[in-house]
Parts: sequence; C-alpha cells; structure tokens
Amino acid sequence: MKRLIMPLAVTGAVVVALGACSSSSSSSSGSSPASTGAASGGTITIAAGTAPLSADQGLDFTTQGQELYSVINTPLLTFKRGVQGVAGTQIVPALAQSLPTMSNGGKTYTFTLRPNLHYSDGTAIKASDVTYALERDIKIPWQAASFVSAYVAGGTAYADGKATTISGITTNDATGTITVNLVAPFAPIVDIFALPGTAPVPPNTPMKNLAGTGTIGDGPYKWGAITAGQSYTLVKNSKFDVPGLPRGHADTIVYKVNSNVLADAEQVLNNQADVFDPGDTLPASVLPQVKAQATGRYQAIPTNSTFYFWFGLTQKPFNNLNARQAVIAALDDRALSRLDSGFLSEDCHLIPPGIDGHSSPSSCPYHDPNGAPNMTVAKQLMQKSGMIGQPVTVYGEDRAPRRQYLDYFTSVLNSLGFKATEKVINSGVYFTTIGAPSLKPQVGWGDWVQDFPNPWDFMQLFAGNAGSSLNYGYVNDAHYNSTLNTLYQSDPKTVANQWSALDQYAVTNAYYAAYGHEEFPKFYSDKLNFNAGVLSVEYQTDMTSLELK
Amino acid sequence: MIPEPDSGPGPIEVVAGASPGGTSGIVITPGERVADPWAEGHHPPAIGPWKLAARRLRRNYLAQAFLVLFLLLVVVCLLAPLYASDIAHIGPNANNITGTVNVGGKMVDVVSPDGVPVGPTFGSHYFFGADSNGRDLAVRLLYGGRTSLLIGAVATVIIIVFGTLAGLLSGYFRGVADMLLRPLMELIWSFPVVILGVALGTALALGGIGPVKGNSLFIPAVIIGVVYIPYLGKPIRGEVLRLREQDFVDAARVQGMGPWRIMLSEILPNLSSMITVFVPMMLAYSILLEAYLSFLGAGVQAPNASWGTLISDGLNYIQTTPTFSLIPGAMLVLTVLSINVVGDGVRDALDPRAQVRVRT
Repeated sequence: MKRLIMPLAVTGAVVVALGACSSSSSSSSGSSPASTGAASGGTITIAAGTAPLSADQGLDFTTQGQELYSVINTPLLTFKRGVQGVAGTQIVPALAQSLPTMSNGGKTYTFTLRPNLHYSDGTAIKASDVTYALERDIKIPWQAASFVSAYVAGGTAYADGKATTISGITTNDATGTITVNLVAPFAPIVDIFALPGTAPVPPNTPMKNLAGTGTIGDGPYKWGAITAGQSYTLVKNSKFDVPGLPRGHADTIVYKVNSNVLADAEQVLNNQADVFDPGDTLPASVLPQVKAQATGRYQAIPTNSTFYFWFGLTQKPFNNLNARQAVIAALDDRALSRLDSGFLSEDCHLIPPGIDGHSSPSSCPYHDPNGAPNMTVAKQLMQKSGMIGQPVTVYGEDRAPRRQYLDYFTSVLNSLGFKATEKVINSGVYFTTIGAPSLKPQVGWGDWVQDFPNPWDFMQLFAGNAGSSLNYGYVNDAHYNSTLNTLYQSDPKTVANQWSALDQYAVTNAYYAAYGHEEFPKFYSDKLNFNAGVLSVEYQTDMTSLELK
Repeated sequence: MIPEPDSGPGPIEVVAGASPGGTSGIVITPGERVADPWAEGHHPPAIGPWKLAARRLRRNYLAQAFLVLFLLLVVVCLLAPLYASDIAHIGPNANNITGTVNVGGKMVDVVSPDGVPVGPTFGSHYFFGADSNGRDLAVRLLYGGRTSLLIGAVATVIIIVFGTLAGLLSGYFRGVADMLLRPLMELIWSFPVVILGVALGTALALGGIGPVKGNSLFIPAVIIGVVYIPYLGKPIRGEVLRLREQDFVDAARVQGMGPWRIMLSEILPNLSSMITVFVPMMLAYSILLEAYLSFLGAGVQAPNASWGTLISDGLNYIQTTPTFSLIPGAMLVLTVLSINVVGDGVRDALDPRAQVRVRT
C-alpha cells in the first residue's frame, strides 16, 4: 500500500536550543488550477487503498487521515488552498486572524481567533478549545503528540500526569487570544499549528479515540456515515464560513477503501469512482491503459517524499559501517523505481528536492543512483566487514509495491552473502510493529511524506532521542543530534547548506539507504473537472477543489 | 487381522449379496448366478483384498492415465533446480529488474522503466515471462509446484498419523479419551477451514512455532494438517467404535491381548482400506488449502513461491498478461484433478461393494 503512513510521533527528548526562529513555510511558485465555478453539488467518490487508522484527528497522523481531516478539522493556520505543487506549502491564517506574532526570542507565539466561528453543530469556537484539543492530543495520544508535548512548555508535565493542563498555553475566550510558550525556539511550531490534529474541538468531546464517529469539526465538510476501515462519508458543512478558505463544491464526498489498488484504478478508469487516491501507487499493469485512455485526466505530480531502507545500528550485522555501505553500494535505485511503476526519481538523500537543504544525487557516495550498482565495491566492503553469512531479518509491508521492495532488498542482501529472510507485516500495523521498543528490528523499509516543508521533518527521523518510535534503527549519533537541534531553530532557507551537509553526513555514515522521491498520481474520472482539482503536497487530494463537470 | 470367511459346508449355489460367511472380498453382480467355488472340492486360488484392489485398479484406465499425469507433474517439479541452472540460468528468487532478454532477436527490458514485466518469451529465458521483480515465472512455477506438493504431502502425513491416532484412541478407549478428543475434533471441525487456516497462518507467520521461523514451509503444512485432522479422525473414530464390538476383537481380548496390541494388530489393519482412500483425498484438499492460504497471504511467505502465491501475484496483470495467473492455476487444477481421479480409482478398487466383475 502506498499509503504513506506518517506517524510523526517524534518522541521525545526535549530539545534545548537557543536562537530566534521564524516560520519555516516556504512559498514557491505553483500552478493554480482553475475552477469553472459552474458545477456545485453532487457526490464524488474517492477510491482509496488504505483506510486511516481512525476518524479521530486526535489519534491518527497517517496521510489518509490528513487528507480527510484537512476538510473536517480546520486549525489556527493552514497550508494554502487551491494551488498545486510546492506553492501549496505556504502557511496562511485559518481560524487565526493572521499569522502569529513571535516574541521572547522565538519562544512565544500569540494567535488571535477570528470572531464568530462555529463548529459544524453550531457551537461557538472558543480560544480555550485549542488548549483542550492539544491536551486531548496528548492524552489519546495523537501519533504526533510529541510535537506538542516535547516543545510546548508544560507539555511533558501534562503528558506525565504531573499537571492538569498544559501550562505553556494560555487563552482568553473573551478576546480570542491564544499564547503558546515553548521550551526553546522551535521554527516548525508554526507548521504544527497548521496540522488538522491541532484544530480545536468542543470541550465536551470525550478524551478518547472516536474511531467510528470522529469529532465535531469546524471545516468545510463534516462527517456523515462512517464504516470504520471501509468507507468515510463527508457532507458539506453549511456553518463553515472562514474568510479566504474554500467551502468546497461537492455536497457529498465518499472515501471508499478497497485494498485492491488495481481495482481502484480500474474503477476510476471506467468512471465508476471519481478520484484515485494519490497516496496509492498506480499499478504498472494498468498504467499504459491509463496513459492511453485517460489523457487529460491523469498527471504525475512531484511531492516531497522519500523512500528508504533503515539499518538497525545496535546489533549485528548493521552495527558495522562496512556492511551498511556494502548494501548501499549494491542497491540499484533504478530497479526500485521500476517497482514503483517509474514514479520514483532516484536519489540517496533523505531531504527531497522540494525542501530546503536538498542535495544533488550526483553527490551520492557509494554509487550513482541513476546508474548500475557498484557490486565490486560492495563485495570488497562485505569482505572487510566480516559479516558474510550473518542472518538478517528484513521487515516490510505486505502491499504492492512495498512487498516487492522487500523481495528486491532481500535478494540484494543474499547476493552480498547475508542469510536474509523476509518478515512481511500487514500494512495497517507495519509502522507500529517495527516501532515497538521490544522488537529492535535489524533492517527494514520505510517512507516519509512531508508533514510540513521543513528539512527537520525528514531529518528528525534519525534523531537519537531515547524512545523515538520513528528511529527504527536506533541511530544515535552525537554530531547528528546536536546539529539537528541547532538547525531547527533557524529558517531553513538561511541554513539550507547546513541541512544538506547533515544529510550528506548521514548518507556517508550509511544510517539509511534512501533510494528516491515519489511522484503522486492525479487521476480522475471523466465526470470531474480535472483542471480544477488540486493535488496538494500537504493534503494529497484537496477535496474542496473537486467539482463535477 | 481381517476376519476370515467361514469354510463352506458343501456344494451350494450362491446368489450375489449372500456370499457365505461374510466378507470374502469377492463381489458379484446382483442377480448373477455363479458356481459355488467351494463345490465339489474346487477351491479357487486365494486372493487377498489388496491384490484384488490392484487388479481392479489396473482395469481402471482413466485412473491410470491420471496417475501418469500426476507422476509427470511431480517429476517436472522435482526437476526445477535442473531447469533453473541449465536452461533458465536464474534462481527462483533472483531479481533481475534492470536486466534484458532476447525476444525474437530483439533485446527488451525484463521489466520496463514504468514497471511492466515482459510476457511469455517461449524461449529458454523467461519462458512464461517475468514478474514485477524480474524473476523467471517458469522457474518459479516449477519451484512453486515443489512447494505446493511438499506442503500437501507433509500435511497429509500429519493428517493420517494424527487423525488415525485420535480416531483410534477416542473410539477404542471411549471414556476420558473420547471426552477430550471428540470435542477437540468437533471444535476444529466447526470452524470454516479457510478462515481457521488464515487465522492460524497470519498469526504463526509472524511469530513462528518455537524454533521454526514464520516463513518456514513447515508452518503452512502444520496448519493444514491440524485443520484437517478431524476430517479423518471423526470417521476413523466411528469405524473403531463399530470394530471394537466385533467378535474378533472380543476373541483377542479373551486371549489376553492388551488394548494397544488390539488397536495395532486387530483394528488398525481393518482401517487400512479406509485410510488408503483418505490419502489421495487429503492430499488434494491439502494442496488446495495451501493454494487458498498462499493466495490470501497466510500460507507460503515471500519470497518463496507456491502456485497460490503465483496466482495471487499474477492477478495484477490479469488484463494484460492473464497467463501469469492462468498457468499456475492450470497446474493446480491438473494436479488436484489427477489426485482426485486416482483417489476415486483407489476407492472403487478397495470398496467391497463395488460393482466390478472379477474373474478368478
């Protein structure tokens, strides 16, 4: 499944840092698809290969979830709507009247709510609801809860049960002011307040995962019927009225889940469904047909994502640098791209091209990502490592093309002399399984789609914070950690070279074997206005842009 | 010990359905009048039930044809390593995504840049085409056949051994043994086979069984074996319950034989024809269930191939290259069909009530 599950849950460790910070959002050029403005109403069906973990934005942080919550739960800020590509990474005010004011050396942010905002049930939105939503995120917990608990003052104490509220957040319901105090300057906090998981919820919302109903939202759509894991219906919210944000065209949007991605693609091709969920890979077998029969309603859109294999650094054989380097030298990124139906642009770096700090693939140290693998060097490194014959269990997902990545990677390990076997895990529980502290897996597959346009979002995957559920290989490099903690305080544009150097440092030390950045398919039925539809790098399909012809 | 017929008292004429002294193993068409073989000192040559069954089987040409087909499939699958090393020159799990292959004098990508694998070349390399990882499907088909047959065979052994044991213990001892074994068999029996197999397969593929890793072929074999044990155990139990009341068993008890000896030397031989009939049936069921489980991802684990995994993998290309699924499907059908026809032949040959004229 191609669903890029991105449980951001960074973990932990409270980062101590100094310096000013500013919004990390980048504004860059992008196309603005044109709505005809002609068609409103009707029902649009999205054919998706994977369901979100929950209908509750307070728990789920998968790409599937973000896609849905982006029109259900409107936070204080949001990523720019109606524009395709990297231009959609610009942060704009949503419930907040304007972008926050920063003070106290980058440690305090102040937001002011717009007046007369309402939830979909008509209840007025109050400033204190934001605090309640963040507390709920920590308690449930939200998969990205550590974004709040680790960086907002008092977050850790609340998470540990030592405080009854998050002391770093103060609100005034009368004036609509929300003041957020951080433990240290943290530039990505602005991006975090643009994530649907931080959107306010009514104070009577239960402090538990509402997987089957979702919460009362404040977005252009509200939840209709939900059959968890199978279908999620969104209906237009007549009470939504936030200046500058689109209200959506379709009356009803049905997000239908069928793990047979080939069937999903065929449904869209045959106009039985309207949108092929871009988080899924268009199967190679149907791609020629799509390209031939669906010209004018299919396009591959670059996104900020990285696909990689991670190494378990705390145990044999990948505690050995030469063994890791040998694997990277033997990887054929072109082969992996073919497994992804040609949607990958080959690269060994973690930071993708659309993000500040991206390095050119030409600087990849062990082999040219666009060329053949260097088996001679790989075998020499293997000899040097002394790890020939070592048993290795490789972890991967069960859905195409991820299982095929696993088959390929295992065959590469075996060709180098490891005794590699596969451990195929169901896609729905893959990341939680490999992230379990009790497992400590040897090596496996991973991917990452940006949460927000900041290199920190990618590089934090290998931060050596104790208990990180994303650092599957338990990388813990003092230089890496300290550089990361310094760089995130600054606007990434001003320190792009240093981010690039950090990425190169990790590649050279073979902490991960990144192999490419993916394009997502924008593929609609004949019934939709293709040019009006937006494939957002933040939210995948921007459902407010979908309109029937 | 098979009960011997009583000796005939003198010349009589017998009519089918009334053979003297019980089961002689010779079956006569109903209504047919034959000379009494014991009349006037004429004693036919002794003929055992197995010899008789073999004779009957030899006359069943359909069963023989399918037996040859089955053996042919087995031999072809056993020769997989030879095919891989000397003809295809690639192993079953070797990826060759960026390689090329000669098709009609032109070198083409084994897997195209947009991920479409080459179809059947009908040459030495990629005879049936490649999968998305550039693996030779013909090689994987043969290796997959070995896997399917091996799992089927091991599962059948498990079913026969443990099903017979459970039926014997439950039926002969009754009491506590029956109270324990019967509900256990009923419990397994009550689950839909595929659902139980998928549940066990999914769970055990992760953790394995003790020292046996989750991706071992032994796991699906054990699962299939366990799931089908009641299918043999229950009929065996019923037959043992009947046999243990027979005179020859009482006679054995009177002679001082212990229960284990009675079970092994008196009852078990009387179950042999029943077990023999079950062997091909269970083999066919096991191969089919392995295919179901592997198709659903709960049987043979990647990167190993079986016919079930190959059918599943081929579904992605069902519209463009249907042979990817159809060929392993055809192999599966032929194998199971041949086992079933041979099994029917064995059953007919061993059935004492079969309507087959036998010349002595």
